[in-house]
Amino acid sequence: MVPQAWARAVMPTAILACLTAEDLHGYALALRLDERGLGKPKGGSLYPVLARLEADGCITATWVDGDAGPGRKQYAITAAGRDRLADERAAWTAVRSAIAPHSTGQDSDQHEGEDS
Amino acid sequence: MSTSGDDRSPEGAGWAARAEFALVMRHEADADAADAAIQRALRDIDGSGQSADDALGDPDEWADAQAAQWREDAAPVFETGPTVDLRTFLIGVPAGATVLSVLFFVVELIQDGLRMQHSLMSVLFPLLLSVLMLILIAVYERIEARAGMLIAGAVCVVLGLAGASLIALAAAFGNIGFGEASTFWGLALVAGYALLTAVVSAVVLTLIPAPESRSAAAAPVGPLSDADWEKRFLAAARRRRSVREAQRTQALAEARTHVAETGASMQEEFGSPEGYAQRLIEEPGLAKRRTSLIRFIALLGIGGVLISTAFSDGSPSVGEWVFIGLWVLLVVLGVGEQIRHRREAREGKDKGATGRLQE
Repeated sequence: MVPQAWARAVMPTAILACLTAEDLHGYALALRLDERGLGKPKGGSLYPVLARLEADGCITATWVDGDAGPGRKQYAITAAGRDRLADERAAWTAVRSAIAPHSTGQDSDQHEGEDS
Repeated sequence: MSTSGDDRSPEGAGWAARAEFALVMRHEADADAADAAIQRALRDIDGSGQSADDALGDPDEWADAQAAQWREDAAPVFETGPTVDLRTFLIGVPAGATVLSVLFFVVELIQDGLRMQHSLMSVLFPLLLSVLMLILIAVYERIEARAGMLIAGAVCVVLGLAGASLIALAAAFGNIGFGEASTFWGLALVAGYALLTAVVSAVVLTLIPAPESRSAAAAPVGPLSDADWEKRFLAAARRRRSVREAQRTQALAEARTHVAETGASMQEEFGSPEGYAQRLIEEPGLAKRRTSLIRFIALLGIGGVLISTAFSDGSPSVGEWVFIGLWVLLVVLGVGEQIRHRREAREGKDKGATGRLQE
């Protein structure tokens, strides 16, 4: 299980990753994040991150009427969101390389792909 | 601010004062929570040999980071109660009268010269106006928390007009003239109100205990029902003037949908209502634009009163023409400011729309 502090730090990136597969509403996103091993975030943590991503132009949101219950806000990734996801994935790869067992810290590119 | 047990150098005390000012005045955080956080930060660097500036950085930036962390944690440390309670009302009335009497003295000196007609109303007017202003602020804060800015504003306009009418009636039918005397007696009035403020403050601060911090009073004691959570969330969210009403209601609708699906309570999913209200994203510049608009509307209102007074007894005096000229200048500057703000708001929206529509 990923430490909570790390899960919180990576939540925006993880949300963007989930949305590349399909548009999702908030609770469904929480379940997807849980499936990915990041734990199920509470609403108080999740929705502010979604609002920030929307304000940054990385995702869009539309209200969809519910079948029997209240409507839901459905989120979709934008091109800017895909660009940000690509950048952040590259950054995480660099971090992983930097702490890989045989990394010297200066030639981390050579050890990319090595797993701990 | 408490310094017991933490005897700081003047430099450290200066750093702490700036940090506390930033947390309490800019971020509207609870003063006790701010003090506790600052003392904790200073204790952490105690004995390191480093100054507060070197170890903790700029106090304003430290305060910004601390406030952001509190919002991230949905900590219930942000002031959410009204500013005008009984204590502040009783002290504020004579204090406001003192300030207003200074203003009126200056105006009368310019308008009437070295001698003027004194009356009971010229003595009481600053006090009555101060009472009216504080009542309007108190009413506005309480209605805004329940029903939003527009309704609160409308009620206050009606109340303000009613109050002003009562004062005008009192002036028309209840005034007692004291005859002509030096305008500088107005300074004696200023001194009188200042003394009244000092006396009332001493009595009030002794007899009426300070409330627990407004955020502590708002912090949940035991479980909150969803209805109570929603009421407190909206009240706290409405105090955030950089957040639009549409955003507040959308956030609430989204929260309701979420708890309907999870089966948990609002409090379980979203924590403290005041804390969650702090996590709503601000629209940059919105509070500044709103304050500027309110100030501009007040300026137009003052101008209406000024012009009607100036022309009520025939042609305005030289002093009155000076005031009218100053008012016109302020209106022109105000119009320019409003146009600039609308342009900035439009540019901000276009930037955001462009970001969201990029495909």
